[in-house]
Amino acid sequence: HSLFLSGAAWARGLLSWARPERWLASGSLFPLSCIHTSTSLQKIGKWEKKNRIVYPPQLPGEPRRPAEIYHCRREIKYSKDKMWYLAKLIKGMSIDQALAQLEFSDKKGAKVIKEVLLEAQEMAVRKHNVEFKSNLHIAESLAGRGRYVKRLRCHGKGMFGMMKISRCHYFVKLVEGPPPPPEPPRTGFDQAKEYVQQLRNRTLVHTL
Amino acid sequence: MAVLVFVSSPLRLRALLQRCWGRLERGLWPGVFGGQSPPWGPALAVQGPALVPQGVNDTGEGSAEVPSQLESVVWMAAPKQRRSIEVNRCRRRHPSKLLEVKRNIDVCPECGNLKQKHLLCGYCYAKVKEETRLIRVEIHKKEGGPFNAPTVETVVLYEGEKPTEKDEGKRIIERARKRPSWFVQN
Repeated sequence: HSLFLSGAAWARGLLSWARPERWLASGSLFPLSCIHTSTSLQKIGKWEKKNRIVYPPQLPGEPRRPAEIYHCRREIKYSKDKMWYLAKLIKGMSIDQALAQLEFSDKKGAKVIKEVLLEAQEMAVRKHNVEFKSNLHIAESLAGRGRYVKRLRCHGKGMFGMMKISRCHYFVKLVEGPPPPPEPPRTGFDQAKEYVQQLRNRTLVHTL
Repeated sequence: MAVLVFVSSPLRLRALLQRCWGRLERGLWPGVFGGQSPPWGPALAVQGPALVPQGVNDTGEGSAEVPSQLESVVWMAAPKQRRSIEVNRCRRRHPSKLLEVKRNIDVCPECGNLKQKHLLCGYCYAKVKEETRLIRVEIHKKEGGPFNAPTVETVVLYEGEKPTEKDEGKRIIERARKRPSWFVQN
């Protein structure tokens, strides 16, 4: 907000000496108040935009669509590989269980993910019409690579190496409802059944 | 004495190696070969069939060459092939490397926060720590400096409490608040 206003004021100040109303042939004045200054925070990421989709109202007979909340944190000073282990840990858990696991994890990223989950929970209750804050589960949880910076690392004898300071992003999608039951592990019988089915699906191609 | 060097490109590696070689030749690293002259001969020479047409005189010197300790430094372990991403993923995502789900988390009966079964509740511990810090502040006010601790016991009394006959010779510390429920009075 304040960025937009300051930008507009700056633009107005800049253009006040130029006086574009003199340049226009017609008598209409250049409306300086509605200059769109693109001083928004660089680029709004795709994950943040996912919260903006609006579905059409549901018909009376349809089953209720569970609420989905997308949240992320960018440029966390942590490695994406190490963050992935934490993201893998909490995938598919209910939000309470995930918070409990993260609280007693010794990793640096656990604290960050905990904050993100609490923020997302609060957002869900306030803005996304979620009734019970415990009735959420983690549908997706990802770690992505942030911007890396190369720096000099000095060794002995005047030798040096280049090290990269890595950062990561963390994305989470909360869905209303109890967590889905875990998939039963694939048995040999299932694999055999699938194999037989594949054999049965074979047909002749390019024939009459 | 192996120096680990991280280089970003093969050109820089070549430049670095050339510099190192130059330094060695000029004798700027005299300690490398332990004072002896650098043996620039072949590291290992075995008498074999005369594949190279160099003449008969060379075969005599060939078998007597024993690789000294210094050349053994050169044979270090190095990866032969680049590990593909599939192999890397198998190693990084192996179940032994994934984080385990902890099953020893309970709810503290006092405050309702989460706690691990074999450890104290963090919230309750912080509460007690804060109270003991304030008691220590009171003690410091009474003593007025270091090395003034009396040789008698200390009793902490809260608002509205009187010292009993058991606390006859003891030092009394007053705290200006209600007695907390977890601090049981004897």
